[in-house]
Amino acid sequence: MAAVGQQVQWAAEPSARVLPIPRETGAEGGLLGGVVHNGPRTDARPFAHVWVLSSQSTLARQEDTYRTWPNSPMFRLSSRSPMSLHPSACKDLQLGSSTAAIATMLRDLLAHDRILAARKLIDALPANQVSNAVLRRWRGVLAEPVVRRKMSERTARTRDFQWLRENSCAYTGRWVALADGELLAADESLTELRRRLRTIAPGAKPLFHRL
Amino acid sequence: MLSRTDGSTFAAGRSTYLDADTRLPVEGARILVRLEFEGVSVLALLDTGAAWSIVNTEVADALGLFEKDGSQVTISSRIGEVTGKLVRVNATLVAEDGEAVEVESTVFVSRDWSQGSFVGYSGLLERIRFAIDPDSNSFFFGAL
Repeated sequence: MAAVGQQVQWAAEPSARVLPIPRETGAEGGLLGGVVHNGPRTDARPFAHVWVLSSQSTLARQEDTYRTWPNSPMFRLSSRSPMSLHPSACKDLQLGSSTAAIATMLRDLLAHDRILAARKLIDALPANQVSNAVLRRWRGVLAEPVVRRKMSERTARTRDFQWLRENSCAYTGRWVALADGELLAADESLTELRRRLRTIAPGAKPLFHRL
Repeated sequence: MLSRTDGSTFAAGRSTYLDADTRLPVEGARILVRLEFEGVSVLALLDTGAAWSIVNTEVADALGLFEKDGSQVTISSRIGEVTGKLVRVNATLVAEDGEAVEVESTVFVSRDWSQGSFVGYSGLLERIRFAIDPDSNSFFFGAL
């Protein structure tokens, strides 16, 4: 923690502390996580930036905002009572400068394979905050995949698979390029193999596999 | 290609998968499906338990994925914790019959990743219907 009274820039906050993320959340709400700061408030008391799961792993609407910590009248965490946001807390929102804290939280969630929670967290941020380049990248990689149907060449690889079953041992540790059940080239380096293939110019698209 | 009992389409594409990974020291069925990353055709191990799809390091290097914008993460894997980054990339499930599926997906790449390519759930399979027929080594798939 930074010393009380010290004004801290969120984005450069070196002492941000990620709270443990409990696996269990109550039916009505639970703490997802938070970062405790001293901040640019007039009284300079420590406060927390927390995210709350409302229920069933649904990120609460505006609960990913600023609240005092831990037992301010403004915010009292309870797994049994619903959360509410005090109007005075809304005035002090500092989301625009908390990029580092949010990125830390996202990394922590992903380290625990909590991908849906991370996705909900980034989706819950206000649009003006996600215009930040770092968070825009996070939103991009956490977005759901976009699937499109595609008509493409229909190349059967049954003969290539047969080649792999019969010949793999002889090429252990090397990349092979196969087409129509035949070895086009092999090399320890994929980059070199692709370079060689460009000179061979095979008629069919090769299948690459490292053995 | 593959329909529900009400006649609606479940999967519109099919490809044959390879049911062995010759790099592994022990025998055992593996499901290696064909996948194209940015047009490069490779085999990737189907692993629904994997949080993310992973692109083999050399493939990622060849495709310039390390230079793409992404977010740094550490994941837990079969070889322990690995730090790398998540990037957005086009992946295509190639069809031998029916329709291929192109997925604007999120994959993990790391210079410390010493294994092959994996098809994982988040960022790729989560928006795909798929089924396996071990009798014919068929991998059926379709867009949601």
